[in-house]
Parts: sequence; structure tokens; C-alpha cells
Amino acid sequence: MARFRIGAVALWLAGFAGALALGGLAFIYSGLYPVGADVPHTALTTWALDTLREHSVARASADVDVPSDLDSSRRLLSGGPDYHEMCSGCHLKPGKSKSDFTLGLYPSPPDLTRPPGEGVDRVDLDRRRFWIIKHGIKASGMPAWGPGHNDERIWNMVSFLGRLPEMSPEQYQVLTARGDGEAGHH
Amino acid sequence: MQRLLLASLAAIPALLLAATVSAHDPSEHASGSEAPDCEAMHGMDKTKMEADDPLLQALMQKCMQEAHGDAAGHDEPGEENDEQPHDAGHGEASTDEDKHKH
Repeated sequence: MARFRIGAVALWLAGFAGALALGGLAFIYSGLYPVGADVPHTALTTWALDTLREHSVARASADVDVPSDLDSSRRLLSGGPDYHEMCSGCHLKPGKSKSDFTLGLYPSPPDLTRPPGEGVDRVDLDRRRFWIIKHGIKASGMPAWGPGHNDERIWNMVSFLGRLPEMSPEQYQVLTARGDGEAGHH
Repeated sequence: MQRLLLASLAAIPALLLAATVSAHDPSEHASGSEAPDCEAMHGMDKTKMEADDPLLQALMQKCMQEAHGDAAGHDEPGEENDEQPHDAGHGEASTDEDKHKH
């Protein structure tokens, strides 16, 4: 009798899982889910994607070694022009609060001119930033810069990001301008 | 005709590859770049910054390079910085202050 019940429950569970899988597949093929960047995800999808991303980046960046000279003038000088040319369109610069990219991309790129939240571990943040710049994030608009830029150059950008929230528009302009003689500096 | 076709088949991927490489060259980024506006720095309140602050040092270095570049017909700036290889081991090239280390 008990054996019969276990078999029935297993059969019922298998049928339920199969129906769920078929329903999911039918939903994917139906085209009903709105993929336009101007329609936000549902709360559940947002939670799932955010949680997935945060935990994935934390795990992948946990073993990254942060250079001890990260906050050096040399790195700030090298990282500034790269940030300006590669990142500021999406992640903004002092004195600018929005751009076409921040308005149109979904999810909206983080404003890196704002200081990180209270209680954020700086070393952990540097590790995460390095990893994200190098590897990018799928389906977010964030490209992987690693294939065309070596680690040293990426760390210079991380260094610049560390001081960016403190910069005035004038300081930012000076540090990010390459000037005539700096073409091919790297 | 066949030779032309083969040459085209070889040339197109080579051109595409060359375009990909140059897209990551910083000199490509630098086209049309502007000069640092160091005049705007004169009004900056430096009393709020400490002399060994890397940010202040970077600003001063940049403006000194710019001034020397202007005076000497745009000498190559940042030569002393370039002495350190970009692939130097992390943690070995600490030339600046310790105050703001992480």
C-alpha cells in the first residue's frame, strides 16, 4: 500500500515538473515576454537577475589580487583618459547627471561619480570593479575590456574610479585630457 | 578572375583584422583630444587637500607636463612614468604615498 502511494506521488511530481517545463518552453516560444529596454522586468525577474549577477561577480572576483599602489598619482594619470573615453558616456562624469545611455540602457548603468554606499568594503569593491571591467556582464551593455586592454591598464581605471566621486569637473577635465603629446602613451 | 577572387578573399579578413587591432590603440582614442585646462586649476582651494594626496600630485604632474610641453614644443609628457613597465608585478611599484592605500 505504502509502495503504491510513493509511486503515485513520484508519478504526480514527474507530471507536474514536465507540465512546468512544457509551460516554460511554450512561454519562451510564445513571444509574450516584453524584451524592449523601455519596459522594466517584473520584480521577480529583477530580483533573480540582480542576485545572480551579484553573487556571480563576488565569487569570480574573490581571488583577485589588488595592487598595493592602486591609489598612486601614476595610476590616476593613466586611468583618467581611458575612463573618459571608454566609460564616461554610460557611467557619467562630475557635473553630469544623465546621458542618452543612462536614459536608454536597461538596466541603467551605475553612476560612478557617486560615492559607494556606507559599509562597502573598499578592497572588495576594487576587486569587483577590476573583474567587471575585464570580463563585462552579459546582456547588460557592459562590454569585456579584457581582450583589448591588459590588466595594468584596467587597474589604472579602477584606481581612477576610487577617486572619481571626489573630483570637481575642473579636476576631472585636467586628469582625463590626453593632450597633444600623449597619443600612444600606453 | 579567379586570382582576383582569391585576393579579395584574403584581403577582406586581413582588413577586418587590422581594423579590430587599431580600435584598441589608445592613439585612436586620442584623436581630437583636448588639452588639460590648467588655468581652471588656479582657483582650486588646495588647502582642503594634503600635499601627499595622490589626486593633488596627479593634477600637479599633469599641469607641469602640459606647461613643459608648451614651453618645449610639446615634449613627450610622462616620460618618467613610462619607465615602469606596464606589466610590472603588482605591489612592487609603490612610488607614491602610503596614506591612501587600501
